[in-house]
Amino acid sequence: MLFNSFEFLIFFPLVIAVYFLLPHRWRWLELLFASCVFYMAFVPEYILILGLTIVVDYYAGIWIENTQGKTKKRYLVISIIVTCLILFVFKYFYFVNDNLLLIANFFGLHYPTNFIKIILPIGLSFHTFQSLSYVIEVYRGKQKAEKHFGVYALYVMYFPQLVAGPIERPQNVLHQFYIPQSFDVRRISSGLKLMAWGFFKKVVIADRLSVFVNLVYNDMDHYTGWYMILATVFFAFQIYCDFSGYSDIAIGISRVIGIDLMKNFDRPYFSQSISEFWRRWHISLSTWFKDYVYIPMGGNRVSSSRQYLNLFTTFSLSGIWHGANWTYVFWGSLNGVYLIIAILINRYDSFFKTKFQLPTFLLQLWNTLSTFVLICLAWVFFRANNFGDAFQIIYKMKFASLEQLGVPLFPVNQYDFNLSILFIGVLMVIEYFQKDRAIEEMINTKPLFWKWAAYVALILIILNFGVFESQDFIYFQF
Amino acid sequence: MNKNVLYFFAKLFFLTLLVLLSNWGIRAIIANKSYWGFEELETKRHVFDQKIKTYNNLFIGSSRFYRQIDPITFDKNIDSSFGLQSFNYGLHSLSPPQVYDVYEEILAKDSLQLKYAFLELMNVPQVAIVNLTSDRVIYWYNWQSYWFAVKAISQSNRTIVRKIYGIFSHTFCYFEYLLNFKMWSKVNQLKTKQESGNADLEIAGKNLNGFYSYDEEMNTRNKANFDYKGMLKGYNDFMNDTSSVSDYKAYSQLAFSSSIDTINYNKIHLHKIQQLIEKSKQKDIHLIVFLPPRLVVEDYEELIPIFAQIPKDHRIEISNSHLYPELYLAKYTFDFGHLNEVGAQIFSKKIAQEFNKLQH
Repeated sequence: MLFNSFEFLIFFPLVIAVYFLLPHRWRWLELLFASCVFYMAFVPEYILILGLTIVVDYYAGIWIENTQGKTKKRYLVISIIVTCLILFVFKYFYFVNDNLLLIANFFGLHYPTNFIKIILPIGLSFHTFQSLSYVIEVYRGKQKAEKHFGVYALYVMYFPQLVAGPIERPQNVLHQFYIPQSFDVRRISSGLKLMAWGFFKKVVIADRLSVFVNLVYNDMDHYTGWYMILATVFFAFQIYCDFSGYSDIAIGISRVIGIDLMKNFDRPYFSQSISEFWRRWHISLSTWFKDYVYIPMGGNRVSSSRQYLNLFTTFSLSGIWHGANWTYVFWGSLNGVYLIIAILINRYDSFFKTKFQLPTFLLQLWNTLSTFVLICLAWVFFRANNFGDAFQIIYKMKFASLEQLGVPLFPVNQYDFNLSILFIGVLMVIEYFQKDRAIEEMINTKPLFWKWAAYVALILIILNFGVFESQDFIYFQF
Repeated sequence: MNKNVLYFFAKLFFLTLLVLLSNWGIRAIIANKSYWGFEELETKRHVFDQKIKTYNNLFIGSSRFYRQIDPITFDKNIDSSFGLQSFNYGLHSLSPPQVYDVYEEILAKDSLQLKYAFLELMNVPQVAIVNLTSDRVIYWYNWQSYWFAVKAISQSNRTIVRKIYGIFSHTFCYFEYLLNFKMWSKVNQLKTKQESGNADLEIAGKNLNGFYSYDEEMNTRNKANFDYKGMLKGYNDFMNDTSSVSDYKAYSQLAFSSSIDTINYNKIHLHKIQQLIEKSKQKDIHLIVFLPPRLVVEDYEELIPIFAQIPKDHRIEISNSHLYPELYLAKYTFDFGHLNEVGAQIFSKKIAQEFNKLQH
């Protein structure tokens, strides 16, 4: 079920109404049932896969807690292997098999490849990582094993963040299911406002931009120059608005329910370096990799060369987490390389400051823009259908000329093109002012008239300018 | 319920009211009488309006008119004394109550020169789940049409479940309409497309008289076009299994041989048609209600009783497979529900012959 679907329009108010009508002791059951319905709206039988992960990690958690030493570690390893095996089979089987086949073909060997048909279960990477974080935290002693099977199942299946995160930690969420929630008007109202903001990003900006991005990226022979640059910049905003919009809706829904989820994005395109970008982009995944991959490998408390290897490995893994394709691996690795280069030239900032005596504002602007350009360059590999396309796009960017700008680039879609630019501008201005405090807080300080005008305008824009063609959220595929 | 909760719901109600009112204002300015969710209809209106004074006969209905009635063949085969020049205003899924709205809008045009109009008799359909949020089913509503749809469905002979779903589907779409769901964007997208000279005039056919047979579309359409793929699928599916023609023939035989109860008819629907006949008369237009071939049993059961109540000089039926067996032959068929080019020519001639009989 998509958040921007007809079914969700009925599902959400119904779930919330029943939730607050039920006594606290039954609410977990209602949420679990709702989560099952939500998940089964995609491919019903895939709930069995989710069920298997839940059962394995539930018992693993209890056994890990009740044992010591090598046995404890053995349970952790078994749990990780089983959970990752499911991920491997459903997400990476074809990828590995295709690559093995290439190698086999190279040596003149052949074997059948289409002997099984596998469809990727929706959001598998997300709930796999959430399950893994539970067993690891129990192993580390930072989280007590959850004894209530239903509540544990709810932790993995909780519908607002089930298919596209944020990837939560058990310490943040599990205990919240036990806290009785009242119909807190202020909290509910805040959740609904956040949902509206998420819908604005998703249906007004991301889905509108996707038209241009798909047009260029799926038909590259017909486009060159500015088209490539614009489509890539548009994709940067598309994926941001799509994913952060989804996260806002998820966090908003959960806030209505009374469960606080972690922040997943923090104005990433205002970052002044690649490392800052990764502290602000998909925070729940970045911190997951930091906590469970980068730091256990030694993090930055090792030799420089080892640190670079750690960074490169972590980002390459992050790349393959996003999709079973070499373009994703390259995208992740490229970001790793960016970070390594940034460390190598860490006098970068001071160089500009001392040599050019740049005012702080200009320096910040330069840093922000150069970071954005590098990120966009990496997005080309993320979005392109294959390596050939990605390099072709980058190559064709050099043909951008002033003459090309003399005529409308998208005559048939000119209106949507103008709207896209306008709404990206609106988004960036609002995000800029969110530097110090959230937009909701800003609006709440205004007089009643302006407060209401802002919310009515937001709703009217979503309704009148939204692109409601039920497009999947991009991150669902991961 | 404490005061805070009541206050919250009151605010929510007030917010909804404000949004609806603002939307009403926006709609009145931006989308007044615009077919923003149905580009083809907007194109047809444009093509018809350009030569509005030329046409004195109009066919309005669904794809059964659009794909099957060639105005040139019809005009050639009527008695020359009538001197008709016809336009085909049919379009896919242009069904009641929307088709009645479109017809009434045509009637309101000042420069209209129509003497005759053919209106396809159809059931008021429910909106399928997959279409509930599509532009095509949202844009056209007004209170009168919505209320007519609800009343007509509730008085139809459908099962209670289908009645409930039918009413729900129209109510849901009407709310989407009130919320201006996608409206502003779509209105402007359409305007931009028209202004940039990219309006799809092909849909009005090679003679720009509104007739665009499936065979013509197969030969002229861009193969990448979405409609083309759907059309091709329908064509291939039919070619793989032509038994649906026999099914339609059987439905027709059953409907016209059995004694369908014509006493209990849908009064709401009939009343609407009578209103349209009267409105047409006021404009000196003779409205002819037309019962087409290839309907399913439920449609016959609902439409034949209504048809029987319409004055004889205002109705034509070319549906009975006993009388018109050629319209149920696979060789004249394009897909499950439609005739091909040759079939369309035969059908157009038959209508002209029936029209001649009616007028004498």
